[in-house]
Amino acid sequence: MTDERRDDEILGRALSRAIETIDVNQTPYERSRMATQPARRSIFGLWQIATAAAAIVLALAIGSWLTRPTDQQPGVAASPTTPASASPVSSVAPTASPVVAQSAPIWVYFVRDGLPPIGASIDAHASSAVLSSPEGRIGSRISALANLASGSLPSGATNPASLIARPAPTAGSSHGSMGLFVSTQGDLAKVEFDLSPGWVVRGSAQSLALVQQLVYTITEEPGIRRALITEKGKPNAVIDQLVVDKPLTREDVSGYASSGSVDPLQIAGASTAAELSTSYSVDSLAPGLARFVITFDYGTAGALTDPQFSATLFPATNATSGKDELEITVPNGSDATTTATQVDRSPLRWIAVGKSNSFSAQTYRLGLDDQRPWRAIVLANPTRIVIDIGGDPRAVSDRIAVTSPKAGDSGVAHAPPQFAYDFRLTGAARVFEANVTWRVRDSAGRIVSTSHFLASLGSSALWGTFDTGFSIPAGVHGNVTLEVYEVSPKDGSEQGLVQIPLSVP
Amino acid sequence: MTDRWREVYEREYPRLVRALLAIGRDPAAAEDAAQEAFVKAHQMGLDKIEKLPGWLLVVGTREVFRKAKRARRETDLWASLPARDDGFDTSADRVDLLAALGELPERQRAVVVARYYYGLSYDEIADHFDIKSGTVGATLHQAIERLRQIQLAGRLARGAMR
Repeated sequence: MTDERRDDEILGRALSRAIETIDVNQTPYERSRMATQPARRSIFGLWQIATAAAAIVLALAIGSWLTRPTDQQPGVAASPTTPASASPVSSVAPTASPVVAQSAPIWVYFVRDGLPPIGASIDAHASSAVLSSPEGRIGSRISALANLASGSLPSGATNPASLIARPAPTAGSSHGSMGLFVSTQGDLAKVEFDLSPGWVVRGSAQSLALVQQLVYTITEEPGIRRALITEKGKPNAVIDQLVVDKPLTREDVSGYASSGSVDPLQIAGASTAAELSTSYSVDSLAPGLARFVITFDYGTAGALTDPQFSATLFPATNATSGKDELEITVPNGSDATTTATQVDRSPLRWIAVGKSNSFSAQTYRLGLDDQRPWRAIVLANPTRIVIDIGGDPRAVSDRIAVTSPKAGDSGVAHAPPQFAYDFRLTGAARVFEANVTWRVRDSAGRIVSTSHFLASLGSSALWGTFDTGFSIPAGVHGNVTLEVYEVSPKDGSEQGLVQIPLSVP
Repeated sequence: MTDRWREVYEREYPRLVRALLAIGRDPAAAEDAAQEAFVKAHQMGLDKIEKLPGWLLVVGTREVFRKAKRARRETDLWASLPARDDGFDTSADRVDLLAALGELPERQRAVVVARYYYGLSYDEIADHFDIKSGTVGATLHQAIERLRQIQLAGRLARGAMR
């Protein structure tokens, strides 16, 4: 250490001691804001969350188990604390016999090609005793999916779980069957499948889709964030060629290249008093995209364009619906709305409106399916904060989000023959000096067109927007790919690449 | 869970308030920012945060800066306010040092407190305060050098008045 460094250290330590002597009020823990905050999700009620290992193991048989029990259906609970039962449903309460199944709405997930899963409410048939435990609810969700008629799916969605419950008839049995053993420990749910004909799904796309659907559906249970899918007697599950051998979170299977940032976003703008109003949309601008817009009315103060606000994404540990919350706080804002909205359209589950405890600020809380990437944009005339959550995973990276064109678009035919098809290119970016680069590759991977443009903002905490266009030269047909990315100012490498498949007639 | 939070709170809160007070020099803002930092940590969950003390310091510092910025913009009085000494120890040297710290630009104040009071490494400081890792040492040295000058000037002035 040089003398200079040593002198610095000595003064630094003296400073440290001086700071240590500052008298502070030790606000007792009981009166700390953390401890006195009202239960943040109380408007939606609270589930008891199993923090210790839950001892109850539940067996549910799937197939036509409600009416036709067969020998193949497992009815034995694995837990020594639950007596074995010949019934296909061993309920949590050993005395609950006869078990009367009831119909209850339950939230499950379906899959869409290339997109994160989409949730929907369907009817579960299970006894209230089964539905009163986390394990029972998890099992009931899967069994409800497996038994769901194909007609009742959200549009554009598929239900791979129905395949595993309806396998081809095998010798000696008119239908296949499946047993489920569910246990939970902390935030982990283990679901063991006992499949007489094995997983029926084929191919990597279908296998991945099934895993996606199961992980989202299993982790819908409040307090559960990870799902371990196994086959009976094995430490893992092998679905066609896909080996699942570790607990998976929604973020692991959502399809996005990166998760949404959990660093608090702090925008230091003007905190002029304003009346606020909000609107939202889901899936309308881009598939898988939820947009939440806060509009400012400054009254006579005129239009300001740099509102101060903060936004933070964090796990919603107590919410009965939604895995994560995005909280947006606007100091000095005031919204006349006080009621919460249950949206229930993936990824936006609900919107809660309230006043912040700490200072006169308006707070919005968005209940979300997962921690998919999100971004904040500020628009002018009128001043608006736009929060975009998700989008097509192919079109979204940590710094680029393309809303148009959408995957599969084919553009507009161009009259003079030099360029054959025009596309509008819109979206948001947060890149160095706002410089966004794009190129189009033909079906053989050759670059047929490339250029760059500027977004409205560079690498700030807020994203900039762009609305531009590109054309595909005449003579290029079939499947082409639009690639949008940032050229790294450090080393020229391509960062945040998104690839959108297009189809030119 | 509550017990763990209580333990963390009772251990970390006084230190955090002191640090934020040294950085922002406003007792009310320091307490407010410290409370906010704990609320955010609580929302995030203990298991999600690596090295909680440093995390609290960074989030609290941001909060202090945010409030200071807002106060400046709204009132423009900040620059004309006399140095606050609420709650400071009266020992001249310590007051000197703390007052001298208050003369530094806010970012330097934060880096100095993070390094010497919280003992964060250069890499952690670079990470948390958005500084290139190569320049943390230089920033620190610059800040300490300035601190030394201010402290010296204060001593000379006091000596001259005696």
